[in-house]
Amino acid sequence: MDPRDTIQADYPYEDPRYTQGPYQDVAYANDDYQDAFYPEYVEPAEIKANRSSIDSWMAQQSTYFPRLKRRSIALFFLRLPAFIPWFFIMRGWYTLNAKDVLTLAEADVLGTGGEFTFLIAVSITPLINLTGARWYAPLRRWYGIFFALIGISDATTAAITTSFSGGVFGRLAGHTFLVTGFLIVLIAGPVLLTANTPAQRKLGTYWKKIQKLTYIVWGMIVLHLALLDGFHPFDGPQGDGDPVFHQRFYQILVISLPLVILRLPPVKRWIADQRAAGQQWKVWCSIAPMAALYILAFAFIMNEEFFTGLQVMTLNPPAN
Amino acid sequence: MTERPGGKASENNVSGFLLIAVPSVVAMVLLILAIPYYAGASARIASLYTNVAAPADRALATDIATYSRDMNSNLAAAKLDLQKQMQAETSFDNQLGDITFPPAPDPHADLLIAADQKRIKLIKLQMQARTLRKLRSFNAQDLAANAVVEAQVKIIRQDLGLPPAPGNLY
Repeated sequence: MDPRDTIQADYPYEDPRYTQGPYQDVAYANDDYQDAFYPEYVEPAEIKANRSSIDSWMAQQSTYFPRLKRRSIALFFLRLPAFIPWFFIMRGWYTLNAKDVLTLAEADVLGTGGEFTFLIAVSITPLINLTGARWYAPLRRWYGIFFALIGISDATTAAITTSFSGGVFGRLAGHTFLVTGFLIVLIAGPVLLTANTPAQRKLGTYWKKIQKLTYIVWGMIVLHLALLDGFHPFDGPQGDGDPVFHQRFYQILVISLPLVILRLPPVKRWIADQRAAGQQWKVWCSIAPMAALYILAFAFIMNEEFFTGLQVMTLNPPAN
Repeated sequence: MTERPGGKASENNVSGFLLIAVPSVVAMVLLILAIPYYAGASARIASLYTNVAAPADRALATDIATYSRDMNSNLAAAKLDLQKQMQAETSFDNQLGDITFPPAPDPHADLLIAADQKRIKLIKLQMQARTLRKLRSFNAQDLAANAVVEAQVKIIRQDLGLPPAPGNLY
């Protein structure tokens, strides 16, 4: 069996171009801590030339801010959307649930926020597989951490403010979909606690195993949304006439589909072969329909986040 | 490139391609189906509106008929009819608020809810009447409030491609 067919070899992504060079011994080789491991390392010209041209460009100093690399500036802005759920829910928190805004809409804002941060986190590896560019790899850890933090804030707010009977326990685990949601937060705990370089160093090979709990979290999120929505939107027949597009279970299925497929070793090999042969366009053409569905579903997730987020910000929660 | 036996390489390449191509074809079919589905959104919104309006209309038609009879003879019964009217209108407003209308009828839906709220306030005042004569004295104001509501209903129905409301209700 080809060693790359195992899940172990699948993560972290093993790109042949990176089997020699500075980052080979680092478990999370494509994260933003790589420079810290080898501060004195000077990349050989041969490896440098093999790196993706966009990576090389992003690694250069910015024209307008010469003290900063282009990558750092781009990453700064790409990290900001992680704060969106907290930005929207903030008014509900500091007004102490005025107009029952948290009771009625906190799960829509923080739950959807947690979902999109998680989906961005798990989109990074397939995107690297697809494009070969790695400069945005740090976003994986960033959005993973924010997913867990938003999940914890969601569970805490729900435990205090939602209207499910049965006290705190009922509000956290009074329904099957709540149980799965609570389990997601519990499983995300160890992943969050070890999502740092010191933990990575100390835990060695165990670190990867702990981080693979992410896949269990992913499955639990799909199950959570299946139990929440089933085949009909949670809020019933009302809406904007597009209930299927707003169906959370369908959204996560069409988003997960390309993300899973782009993790499969034969697919990764096919993409690498096409890239090596200078036929990346074949990859883009074949992935385009799935990418279009992915973007469509993501647009509706963000629509939900902004729509309910603005309702919370304006203290004008939905009537249900 | 890492080494691997030639035969397996081509086999893997084919399987890799198929693993992308097959779901992509499914995704393409779903995208094609999504276009007519999206185009039918306005018809579904119209259907949502009639689903909310029809039961409210039925309830209001009955309540208005019984109120017309009771306002001349039975104060308590007339007040009960007004109470039922108020409940039907409140329920309609709540359900209407859950529908996200297209840009054209959207402001009119808000105006309709506002007009309905005014009518409900008026009914509340009417319900405080202690005599049948006092109760009936609100009828002219009721008609004026109804006219405002009907004007908004007419615009919304027109924008949604629906026929005029039966009996000048919702």
